[in-house]
Amino acid sequence: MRRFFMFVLLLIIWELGVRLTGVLPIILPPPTTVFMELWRLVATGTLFPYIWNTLSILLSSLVIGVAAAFMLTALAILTEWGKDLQRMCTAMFNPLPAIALLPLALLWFGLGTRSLMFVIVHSVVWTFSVNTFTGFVTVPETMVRVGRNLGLKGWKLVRSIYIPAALPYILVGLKLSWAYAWRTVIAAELVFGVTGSKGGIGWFIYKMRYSLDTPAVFAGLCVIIAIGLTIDVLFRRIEDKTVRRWGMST
Amino acid sequence: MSQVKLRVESLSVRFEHGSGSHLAVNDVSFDLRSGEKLILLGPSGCGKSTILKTIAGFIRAESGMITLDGRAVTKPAVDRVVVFQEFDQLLPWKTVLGNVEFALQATNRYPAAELRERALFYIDMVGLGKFASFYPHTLSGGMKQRVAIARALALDPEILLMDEPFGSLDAQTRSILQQELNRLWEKTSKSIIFVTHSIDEAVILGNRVVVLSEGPATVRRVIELCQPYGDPIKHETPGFVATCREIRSLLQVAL
Repeated sequence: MRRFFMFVLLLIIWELGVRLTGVLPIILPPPTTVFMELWRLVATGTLFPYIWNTLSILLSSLVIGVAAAFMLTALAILTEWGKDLQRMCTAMFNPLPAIALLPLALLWFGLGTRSLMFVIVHSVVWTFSVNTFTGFVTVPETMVRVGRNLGLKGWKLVRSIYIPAALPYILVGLKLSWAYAWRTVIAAELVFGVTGSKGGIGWFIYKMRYSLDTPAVFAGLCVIIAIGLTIDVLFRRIEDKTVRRWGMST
Repeated sequence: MSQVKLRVESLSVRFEHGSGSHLAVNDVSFDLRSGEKLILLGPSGCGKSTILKTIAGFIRAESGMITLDGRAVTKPAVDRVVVFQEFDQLLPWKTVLGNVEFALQATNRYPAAELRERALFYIDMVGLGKFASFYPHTLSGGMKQRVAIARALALDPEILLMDEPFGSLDAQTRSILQQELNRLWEKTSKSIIFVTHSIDEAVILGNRVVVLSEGPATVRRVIELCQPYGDPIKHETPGFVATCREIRSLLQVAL
């Protein structure tokens, strides 16, 4: 509740500030204008294709990245050479910002969805693998032995013991992956704009700035914030239903 | 007399570590008879737990032989189910019922329709019928160990391997569970190997006690307990006290 009042107060200061100082709306539009613009964009449905484009690229890249990371990490926990491979790759690629790979991606895949997906997958795989691996190695020896005692090995042991036991770490990995992927996709869209014929929210913001439609730029930013907050709530729900319910939260 | 269920013959276990290796178990031999409770008793860190884990197949022997009903065993399997000391032997993401059902299901030995009924039967047997839908983190330590015992019994193993299962419990709970284990043993007549460092526990639970030396573990002596001391009233009797004293002096020689 207090946070809500703070939020409203901030908006009032913004509104009054703009109106009293007479800043050009092209530089900083007042919040009322931004919200009206946002309302218009939502009501006319102009924004939805952009949101959809961004989210669909993001989600498919997340799925690919997480699946690849799972395979790499399962190898790392089951075999010695897999562990070396995972250690080497994550140490090398984790510090490499995904955006830095964009020029290379453009060279390899051209201007389009595949380039975007390449950099997003890169931003997800290593982070997720590092977190999952940490989760796997901290699974109590006893729990693993319970599984082996039942005759479980290989992928079955990973699926029924390691993955659920490491779930708190896996969820942290997912949250980080999501955050990196989200930043990467918006940034990439801003840098090289259109992805084929379809653009995302980043592209929308870029295009609106080009036509000096600053309220629409702000509306785009609002959408980015709103989606981020929604995902946060979603993660909290998942945690409540799983790790917190099971007394496993870290 | 009853026949031999499990035979351990001149078992030695060596641990390798960075700079070298050390011998944890040195030429240990003993038999587990069918339907008896055999206690492995020794000071902390003597290697008694290592012997149990080797029987379970988690640790590889350097030399020697372990045979179950005449067949050599080297790998973990459900014919030798372990009850551990650590509470995290229960899977926290599964309920009490879920834990037992999961174990039964993993063995592929029981038809899906029977899983629930069988699991509930054993949960009832350890007195946790009302807690079947609870998650482990909401249970006390003693209850968690009961669940682990129920899960082990439900799997109907050839032998039950218990690695200081009551070691993390308070004295009162521990005593209750000791009586409980005796009761369950009478009901199921399982062959049990039970590891402990407590002389009292050994005498209360055991049919026979293998007294081990300080590490590397060697067998000091195997003591036959002719009268059962399971009933708490008998803990004050001269026989109980004398047996404990005898074992204590053996352990002191070992030191």
